Amino acid sequence: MVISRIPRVGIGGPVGSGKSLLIERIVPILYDRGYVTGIISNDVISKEDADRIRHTLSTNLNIIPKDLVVGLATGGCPHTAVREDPSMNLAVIEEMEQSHPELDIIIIESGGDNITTTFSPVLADYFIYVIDVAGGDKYPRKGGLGIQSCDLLVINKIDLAPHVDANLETMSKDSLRIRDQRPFLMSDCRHNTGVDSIVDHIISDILFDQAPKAHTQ
Amino acid sequence: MRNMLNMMQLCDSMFPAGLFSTSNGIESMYLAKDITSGVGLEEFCAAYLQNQVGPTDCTAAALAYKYTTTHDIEELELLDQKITAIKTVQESRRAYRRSGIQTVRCVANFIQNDTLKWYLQYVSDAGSGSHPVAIGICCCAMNLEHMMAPLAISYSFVTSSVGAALRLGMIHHLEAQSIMYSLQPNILQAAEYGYASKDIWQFCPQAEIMQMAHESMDAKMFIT
Repeated sequence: MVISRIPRVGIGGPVGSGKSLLIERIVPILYDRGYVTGIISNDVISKEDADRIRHTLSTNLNIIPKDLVVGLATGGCPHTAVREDPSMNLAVIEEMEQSHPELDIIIIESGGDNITTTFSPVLADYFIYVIDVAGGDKYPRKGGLGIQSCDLLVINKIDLAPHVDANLETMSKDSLRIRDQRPFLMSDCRHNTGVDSIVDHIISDILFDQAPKAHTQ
Repeated sequence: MRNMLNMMQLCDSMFPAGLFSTSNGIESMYLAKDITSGVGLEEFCAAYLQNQVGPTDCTAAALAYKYTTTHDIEELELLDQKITAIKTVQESRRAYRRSGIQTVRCVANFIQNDTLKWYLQYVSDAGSGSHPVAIGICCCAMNLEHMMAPLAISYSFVTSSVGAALRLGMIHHLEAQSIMYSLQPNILQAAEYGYASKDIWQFCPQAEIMQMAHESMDAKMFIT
């Protein structure tokens, strides 16, 4: 199969659901499997997420160049920046593709609530929506655009479930029902639980199990 | 009427040029309490239209339109370089480039035009690009009148600035529309200046310093 552009994964979810930490966990696993990743972090109010991801992945782990982590201010409109007007994100992607043709995948992170968050199909080929159990076990049952339209739903921070009286079995059943049996996964990014399975989905669903570019050239 | 629809489409806030992500320095001025009300916002917009948008961006858009009518790519290249050089604030320069490229890419998606095609190749090869030049090329490609190019620039500047102030909580939605209406003479004046001028200049040092300060802020909603 021939892919004409670098595949892009959109990762959305409410503020504090663990999107940035998920990226910090995903990228080293992709790196160990030979894949080169670029990251765009859409920040609603600060550069903190992009700075933190860059510090972890570039400065501490030294697994991607600093210029492959780009923070974008969204003018207070994170949904607009990834949905109806993704032009700034697309511009950064074009610059990344031009300066780093060795990239295998680009991850685009954006905060955004469940009611309104989706990624423009021009911007992202695959959409992961992240929620956490601290929002209550009713969260999947209530549905919403993010939970229902994403390609992969991630229920994060499952280690907190006993502390917030969240029933994981209920969340599992509701997720399957509300998403018409489409996939969801549970994770605890803080302790690296469930992250490998998320990476497996990315490699099979968006990279179609293709070998990393570095292995094929 | 068709031309009017083209102009409305190009200047609509839904048009994907990323202008919603810029405040033209208003965010840092608001946080520094230099501008805290609709009155201050209107004064800033009027001054910026007169000293930056009219003589620089509107002039560039009008010239780009003119060069597009004859597909004069040498002049377009020079103009693009000049506009890029005059943008002293790095983030503004980068945002202008990105907005310009995406504007042309969008219009090229539904209009066939040699200059649109050339510009996309040129900005890719030269690492250049700017929003006013892109608007000039697009207005010509969309068969708008020449005057519409600088007018699209001055109007878009005001909508993005007032929109930023609205999202910052500086003004409310009714004030926003009053300010837009009140600034109409200034919007027209800037466009007319750009339409008639051949020289590009700007003088807005305080705004540029505030925009530079904005670049290094840790917490901000807007690119610039």
